[in-house]
Amino acid sequence: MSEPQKKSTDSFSNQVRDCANRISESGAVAVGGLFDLTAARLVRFSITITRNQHDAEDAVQSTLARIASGPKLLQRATNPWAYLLQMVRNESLLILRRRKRTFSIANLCDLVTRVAVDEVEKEETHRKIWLALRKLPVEQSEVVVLKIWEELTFAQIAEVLSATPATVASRYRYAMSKLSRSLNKSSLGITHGGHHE
Amino acid sequence: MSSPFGLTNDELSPDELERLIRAAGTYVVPSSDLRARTIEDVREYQRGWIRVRRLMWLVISVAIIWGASYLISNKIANYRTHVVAPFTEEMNQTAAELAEQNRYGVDWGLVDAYERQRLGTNSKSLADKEITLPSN
Repeated sequence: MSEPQKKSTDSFSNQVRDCANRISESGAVAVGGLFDLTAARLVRFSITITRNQHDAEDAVQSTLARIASGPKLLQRATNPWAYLLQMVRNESLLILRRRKRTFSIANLCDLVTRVAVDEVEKEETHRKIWLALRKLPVEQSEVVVLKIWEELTFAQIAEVLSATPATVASRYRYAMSKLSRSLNKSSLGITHGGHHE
Repeated sequence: MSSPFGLTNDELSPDELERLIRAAGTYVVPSSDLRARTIEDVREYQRGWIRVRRLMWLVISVAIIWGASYLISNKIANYRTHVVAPFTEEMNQTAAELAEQNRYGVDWGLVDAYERQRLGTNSKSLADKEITLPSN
């Protein structure tokens, strides 16, 4: 992990800790701050586990409710962001075990999506990437999400997933190799210059 | 056709793939009502917790009050003879016992019983104790 990436992860973790401090001081009213900071990232991480937006949002909702009633958990954590991800993961697994839903990974119908006006031409690429991620086994897709979207180190990912860094690195390599087989330039509509058609 | 890195022209380089995945990270967003639902859930959770805490305090207070009153009532029972006047029945019985013991009337027995009570003698053992009458 590059130095700027590590700094950005640490700074995000500090922001999460600040939110926990505010919740501790002001109570439930300060939960909005933590939600605004983390919800989008937590939901997309949880979706990789639950494969379903509804369940992912339930997991995030109950995790934030637990944080609101005991913000000290987050305040005391060495890396509050990794700790919060771990809590959401545990909650997602719990929900997954409780509700044995049948879900379709062949489409993204259950997901709430948004594309910026200047990125409309990239929507199809985004859809294909999300579909490819959904087709990966959960243990591989969660590593990809934590490595690329959350910019965590393999050691931090290992902490979140309760696995060894070597296992995590190996899962990442397998996942990327599968993704590079399913996603290629022609399927994504990318010209050789790297631009979208 | 392969590139110098062993990739075909159609394959994405690892960096390119990572960049594309990173860009797709903001494609899926939370529902618009999730914020309101979460805050309401937090408030409900806290209201529930406050109710549980109040109930807990109530149970603890009742237990403390019950324990304290049990101890106090036991202590009071030990000192009852010092703080509470004897019952009429006890006095009558003591008077009768004293009258028989000293061979005088029950009315004098009652006088002696009250005298002993005033001096702080245990009413139950009144009859067993000798009264030293002032000699003229």
